[in-house]
Amino acid sequence: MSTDTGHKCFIEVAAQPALVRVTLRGDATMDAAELVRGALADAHARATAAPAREVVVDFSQLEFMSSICLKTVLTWLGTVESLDPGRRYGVRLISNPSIPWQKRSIHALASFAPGLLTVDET
Amino acid sequence: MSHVSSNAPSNAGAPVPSFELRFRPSVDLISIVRRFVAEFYLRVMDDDDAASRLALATHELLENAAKYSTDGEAALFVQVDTGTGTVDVRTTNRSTPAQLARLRRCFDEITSASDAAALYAEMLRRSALLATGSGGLGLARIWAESEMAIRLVVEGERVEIHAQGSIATRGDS
Repeated sequence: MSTDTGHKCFIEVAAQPALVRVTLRGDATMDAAELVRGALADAHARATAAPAREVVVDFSQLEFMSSICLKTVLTWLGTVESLDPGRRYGVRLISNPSIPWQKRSIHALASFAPGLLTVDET
Repeated sequence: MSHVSSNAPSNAGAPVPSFELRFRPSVDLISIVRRFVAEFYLRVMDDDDAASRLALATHELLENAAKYSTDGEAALFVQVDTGTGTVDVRTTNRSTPAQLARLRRCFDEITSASDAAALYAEMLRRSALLATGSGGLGLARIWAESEMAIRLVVEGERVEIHAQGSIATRGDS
């Protein structure tokens, strides 16, 4: 699945062997919340059906994320945590330390799901 | 969108970089304004991280104003006082009694909390369970991530939210 809201927010979900990759680019703001939710739901469905070992969420070109989209990511992480251990997949988030907001917000996300989420920097 | 710029005198008498925007904040416009204010902060403060924190606060306040404005209009005021080392970001909009009540409850919780990080962590956990909305997560994010104090002023149906913080400016060593 690939969704583009003009120049603002681009979201792509791609299945690869043993993993699903979600790429977000641009601005994930209030108008993109439903797109983000849909993309994460799609990734979740693919990851549990395959089943996949891991979902990679690529924020390396995500210029900004507002709290409503942050909340959408949290809800998805909560859903993954609630899966039976045998069905649960890992989540790896790729961040870009040169985008200043990511340092603090991704720390907050990692604190929310410490056993589930790992963070790699580009 | 109308754009009113001003150079109000600071306590020390020198002009204070500031501006005010009055507009109908569509989601597209909010991102444009965030980029504009980030550039403004950067020119005044020469600090990428501080400019990013202030831009984040500005964006969250504007999304809040856009979501809840009853007439679709909002105002943004930004002032960076290099003399006192303070920045004040505030949004103004008209809101419904129900939304005002929600805002008051949210501010009561924030102002009674002693630790920004602990409150933010709690709001992250709580917001994850909400079917709609984010339950004040944006305001907690401003306090915790932007490191700015927030304040609510209500006059009738007019809502004003202030985010205030300390800054290092170009003159600081």
